[in-house]
Amino acid sequence: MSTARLLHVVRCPPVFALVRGLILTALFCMGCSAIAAEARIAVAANFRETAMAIAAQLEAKSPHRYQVIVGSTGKLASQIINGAPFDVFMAADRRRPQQLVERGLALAASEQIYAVGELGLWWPNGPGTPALDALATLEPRSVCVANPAFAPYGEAAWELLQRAGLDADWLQSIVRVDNVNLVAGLIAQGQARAGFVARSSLIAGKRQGTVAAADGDVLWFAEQAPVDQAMVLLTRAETNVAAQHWVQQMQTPPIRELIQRDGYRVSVKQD
Amino acid sequence: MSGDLQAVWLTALLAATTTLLLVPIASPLAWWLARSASPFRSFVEAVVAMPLVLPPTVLGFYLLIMLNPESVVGGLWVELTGDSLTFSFSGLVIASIIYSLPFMVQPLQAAFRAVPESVLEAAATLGASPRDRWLNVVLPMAKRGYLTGCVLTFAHTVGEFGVVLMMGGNIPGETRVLSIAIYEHVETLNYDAAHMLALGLLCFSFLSLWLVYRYAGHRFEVVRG
Repeated sequence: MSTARLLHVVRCPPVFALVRGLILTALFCMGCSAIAAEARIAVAANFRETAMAIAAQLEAKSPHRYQVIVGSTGKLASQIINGAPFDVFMAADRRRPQQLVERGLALAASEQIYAVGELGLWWPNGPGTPALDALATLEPRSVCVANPAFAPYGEAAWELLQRAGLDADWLQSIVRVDNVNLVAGLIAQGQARAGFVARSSLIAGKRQGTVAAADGDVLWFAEQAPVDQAMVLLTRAETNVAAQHWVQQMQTPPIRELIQRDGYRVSVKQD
Repeated sequence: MSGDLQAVWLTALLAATTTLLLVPIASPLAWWLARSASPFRSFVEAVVAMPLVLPPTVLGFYLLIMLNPESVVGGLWVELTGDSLTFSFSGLVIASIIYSLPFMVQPLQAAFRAVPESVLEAAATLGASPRDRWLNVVLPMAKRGYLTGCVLTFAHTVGEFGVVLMMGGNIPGETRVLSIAIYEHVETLNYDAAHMLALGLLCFSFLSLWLVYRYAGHRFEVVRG
């Protein structure tokens, strides 16, 4: 049985953690040339598909194994504060990773912006090109946004809406959902008329065949509301080679290409 | 798909572990509740039944506070095992035991109450020791109670969502149970996979309840939750 297969078989259930440990130790002692490690990557919901693709690519080119855990940025950060066993945190904002650094839970030196996301207003079958101030003609119940309390794309959308000077009562009654991916799904199904989506969700949805947005139906806010997505290596993973490898690879050309393909911009500075 | 199979396996493992651990925990408790005339009985009964009416988020929130690595219990666990209780399989087992306690205790309590005192006295006069009476008189008579309790506990644990959402996170092979996997599929617009798991759970729930009604009759009392 090959090493890879053996690892795969014993990777799953927690009761086998001990067995896995023993086998890994045995493999190590047998003098396996490369040291394989595992890392858990906590990823903001909008980056899910891209993170999976990155994991597949890194796994193909290294002995390491990666698990991608998806949630909204705010929820993942609070889980990390409450002891969640993650190794790398890929947020959809800069604030949460910084907060973790301040609490000593993440390493300041590892902090970097890995992608800049784009927020858009998707309004299919609307009156021509979507416009912010025209939104008020819709029932607030049919307008959807990621919850600004813990989802960065929702936060960015909320700021735009407030600056657009929409009626406060109307604004309070719009629908807030768990993360930005859900917004695209609700509009695609016709459960919401319009909403604030991430370019990456539309691209991922299109690939899966669940979402189809015509170009003219989306108003993009690339300049007004860029969403800087930052990542950090968590302190508990300081010595985890798989996690370190993930962080180091993020600014390399093949990975940056993957990120761009999925609808993000990458920061200009290249190392 | 392999991720979903893993979720199925993990859910079954969690439900089985919880059920197995609850049998020895719930048996003496149910026996005491069925037989005791203590003034504290109603108090204990109310505490045991709490998970039936309490929102799972409340339970999840308190467990998160109680078990996180900075708390007394959570900190002790980290020192003993090196792992955090929150966002781990062990933490979920603890949560499920509390969450499903009434589903095991109540059917057992009903079954124990149905064992007539006279039968136990007769066994005693024939020289049966307390242990003997328990194993050979009470247990066979409470068989249906155990069946009901085990099936309901297992099924209820499989259906757990709110508690896991609060203190389990979404870690494959560790805390990513079926209900969480469905939630994630819906969140990521993967409706085909969500349909498959949801339909599977629907059939499973029906089969477990049918099993209970078919073989345990209408003698079980738990209907809510």
